[in-house]
Amino acid sequence: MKIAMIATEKLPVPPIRGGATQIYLDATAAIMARKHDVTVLSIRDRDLPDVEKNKNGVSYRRFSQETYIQEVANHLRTETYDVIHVCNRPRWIRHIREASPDSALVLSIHNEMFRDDKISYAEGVDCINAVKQIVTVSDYIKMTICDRFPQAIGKVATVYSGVDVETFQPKWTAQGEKIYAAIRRELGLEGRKVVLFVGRLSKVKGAHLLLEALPSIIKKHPEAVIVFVGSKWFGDNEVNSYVRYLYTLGAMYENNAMFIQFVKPEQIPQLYTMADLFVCPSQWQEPLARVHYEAMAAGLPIITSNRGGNPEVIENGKNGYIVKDFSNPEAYAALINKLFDEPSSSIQMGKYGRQKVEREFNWEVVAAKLLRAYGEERG
Amino acid sequence: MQSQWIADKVLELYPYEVEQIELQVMRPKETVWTVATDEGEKVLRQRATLPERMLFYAEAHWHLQQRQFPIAPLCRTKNGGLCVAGGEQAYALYDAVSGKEVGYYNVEQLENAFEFLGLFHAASQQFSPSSKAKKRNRLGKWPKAYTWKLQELSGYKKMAAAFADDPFSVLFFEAADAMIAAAEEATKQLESDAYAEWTAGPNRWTGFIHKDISLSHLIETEETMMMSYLPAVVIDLPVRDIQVLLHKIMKKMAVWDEELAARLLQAYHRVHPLTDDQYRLLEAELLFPHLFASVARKYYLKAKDNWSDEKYMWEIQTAITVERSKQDALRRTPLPSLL
Repeated sequence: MKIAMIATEKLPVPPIRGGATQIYLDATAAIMARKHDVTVLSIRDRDLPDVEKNKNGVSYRRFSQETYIQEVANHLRTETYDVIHVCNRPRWIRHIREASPDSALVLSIHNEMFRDDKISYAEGVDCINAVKQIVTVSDYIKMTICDRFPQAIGKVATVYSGVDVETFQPKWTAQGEKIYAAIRRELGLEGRKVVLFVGRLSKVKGAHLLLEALPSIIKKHPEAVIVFVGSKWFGDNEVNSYVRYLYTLGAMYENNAMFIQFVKPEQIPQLYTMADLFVCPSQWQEPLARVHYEAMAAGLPIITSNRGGNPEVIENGKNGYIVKDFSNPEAYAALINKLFDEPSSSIQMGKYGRQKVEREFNWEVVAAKLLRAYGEERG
Repeated sequence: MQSQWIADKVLELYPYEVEQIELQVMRPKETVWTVATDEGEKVLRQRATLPERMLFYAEAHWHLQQRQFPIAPLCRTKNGGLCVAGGEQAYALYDAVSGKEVGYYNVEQLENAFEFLGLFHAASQQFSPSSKAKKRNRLGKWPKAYTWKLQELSGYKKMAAAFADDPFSVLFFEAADAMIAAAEEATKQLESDAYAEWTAGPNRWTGFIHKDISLSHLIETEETMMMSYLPAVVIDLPVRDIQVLLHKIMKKMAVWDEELAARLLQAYHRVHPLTDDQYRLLEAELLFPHLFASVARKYYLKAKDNWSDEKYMWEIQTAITVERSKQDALRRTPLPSLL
């Protein structure tokens, strides 16, 4: 098959400047290119050529951010593809259909793009009629589409995202053991029980609830420490009032709360490796945060809030716990204490999570599912 | 000099002969010039905001103007544009209007201000920003915001408990439980059908609000009260503006004046009547200890470099007095019965 994958206008592919959808496209394109002719279209970047073919056999074409969709449409008028995968931009479908009337269009949706403030009802219906298939990153996102557009039900399927499992080393592997010891030594966390939070420091991500939970955790486990990795936005270390609130509250527990702001993306897997458990206290209905795949790949048991798509990758009691009373700090404290009280069951959960991610959420699986959505025969 | 040069360049896009430009205000996120032109005095406002966001404000301004709401008229560029984009800054030009300031200690003026606020909300309805404008929308977001503020209050309570020798923390801690209880009660009141109906579904609110209304934004001309400049509006329920303005006035009084509150709400009601259910949402909004939470945030997060310890003490004492007297009044007399 000749496949075009169209990234959003936000960031370039490969994901040299980050971006969850850019990671998703680049990882799956590399796998598909083993058997198919794959071109990824994205915006231009000063550090990338406008046209290239990489060692994985993926072709890239990059266009100006200001006139991106027009230039993409022009390209599609001159180059024919069997399948065009449009990433997270339902309103572009009509331009793409017009430019390439015979291609099969597949739309992947990564957040609530079919909400009424994002797309009108008429545009939504036109988009659904024009595409062959819509793939969503979680059942929650699928539901947000089908609730408003019941006519989409037969065309929408969940294809969970994935992670590069090789990048993450659980602490029980030989390499993981070394990373675990080295990072703990570097951070002064030897002999501590480490809870890890990775994410943007914003109210909706709920980091403050973990600080609120700390007194109840310390009471039972004085050696506990919560490590917060992230800033307002990754790479943006400006302190807003929420972050200042976290630092102020955190300063009251200076032996039990640690903030790591300045971290390079490539160092994050090592921080997962040195932790004992991972908590995602998100307060918003988020599509399904990538941190869950990463924590599982690093062999950590996960405690996550019952919000959006997050609980979909948790088998309650097997690879972690789902917090129903998600705005109550004590609910997190109770589960964190439970995992600290039962270290062997915590390790078992981490191992189960690692098996689950290897089986269900590695990029090979994601690429195979996408190819089926494109129309490739099974096997 | 550079700012003068920028103003010159922006003004070239407007169909006026510029006679003189004078820098009025320069803040980190806003610069204002007065401009003498062949068609009278104008005001040029530069905001550090996305041009798409400025377009949203300008479209709201234009919407008010189209509906004959008394606001300083917005000027269009030679190409018919409502505002001008320039990198990370955006500009809007409007007529300068002059008149008397509106004071906090004149009841008649306060009543006029509340009637004016009602007029503003009535005119804001049926607003439909263009697809190019970046909307600010807070409809339906109060429950989340209340929950966060509650959590924040509980965090400050923990901090206060740790600073037993700090007079501000002692005062804050003593009042905190009652304030948190009031905040919980207010949060519960938002779980009503009235909130859901007013923020979503076919009968939802279609207007915008000022968000940071204060009397300094208003002037009295000989004929009418006027809004003197383009506000950074937001799509949200009008009871938020009522709450903000009532709190600003009552803070000046240093206590909740039940009788004055009734007069001001009656003035609003004459121009823009709300339903009993909607006034109950105003009750929830008033019950929430916004003043108390705001002083605590400033203190514990050190948000005001120039506030002395005495100033903080005065602020927390006033906030506690206003909050307590207000909560008593609201529990004694439901708002709908005042109207």
